[in-house]
Amino acid sequence: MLDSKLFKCYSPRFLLGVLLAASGTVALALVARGLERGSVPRLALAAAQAVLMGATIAGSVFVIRGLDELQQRIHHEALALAFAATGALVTGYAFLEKAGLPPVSWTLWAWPLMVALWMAGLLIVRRRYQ
Amino acid sequence: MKNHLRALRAARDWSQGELAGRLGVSRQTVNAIETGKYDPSLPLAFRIARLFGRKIEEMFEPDRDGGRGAESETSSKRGER
Repeated sequence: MLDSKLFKCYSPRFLLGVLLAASGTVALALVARGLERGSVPRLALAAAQAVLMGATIAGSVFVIRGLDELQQRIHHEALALAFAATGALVTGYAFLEKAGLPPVSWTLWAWPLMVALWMAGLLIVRRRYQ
Repeated sequence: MKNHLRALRAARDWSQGELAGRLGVSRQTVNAIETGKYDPSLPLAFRIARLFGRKIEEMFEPDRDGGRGAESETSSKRGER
């Protein structure tokens, strides 16, 4: 059975916040498309996207700080796992790219990959304490 | 570390969830402590001892290896190999 507190990150309130931040980022990107590269408005929109990303990170940290000590430990271990696995995958794929596989824009995909691996890490690490 | 949490909780007829609520932690944390998979922090250990009206050393006692937890025991065994 899943422990609801461990997956507090999936609480409707938090998910709504993440969804709003993601929608805002995409909306800003769509608006920015029509603006000239290097122009002040486009740079301002890009900065706004970065602020939304920062808010998402701050929200995640806030949620994790509200968990109990074991849940925090599980999250920290899962994050360490995600960090290492992302590095290994990105570097590993760089070798494959050199061998002929199509290039991937890691500046765009590194974070989603890291979040996905964080969630996978949670499922793996929590088993240790069951 | 060994502990007597399960027996003391059962003596008071508390469920794991009820004890977790009193301690302000999750039920999984109580279960992990009871099964010896997780050693609580010192502040939580003191909260547990206070809740049951006991001294901390009456609640928790070191393993034969001198108090190293299950995890460190496993890693030291790995290191020996």
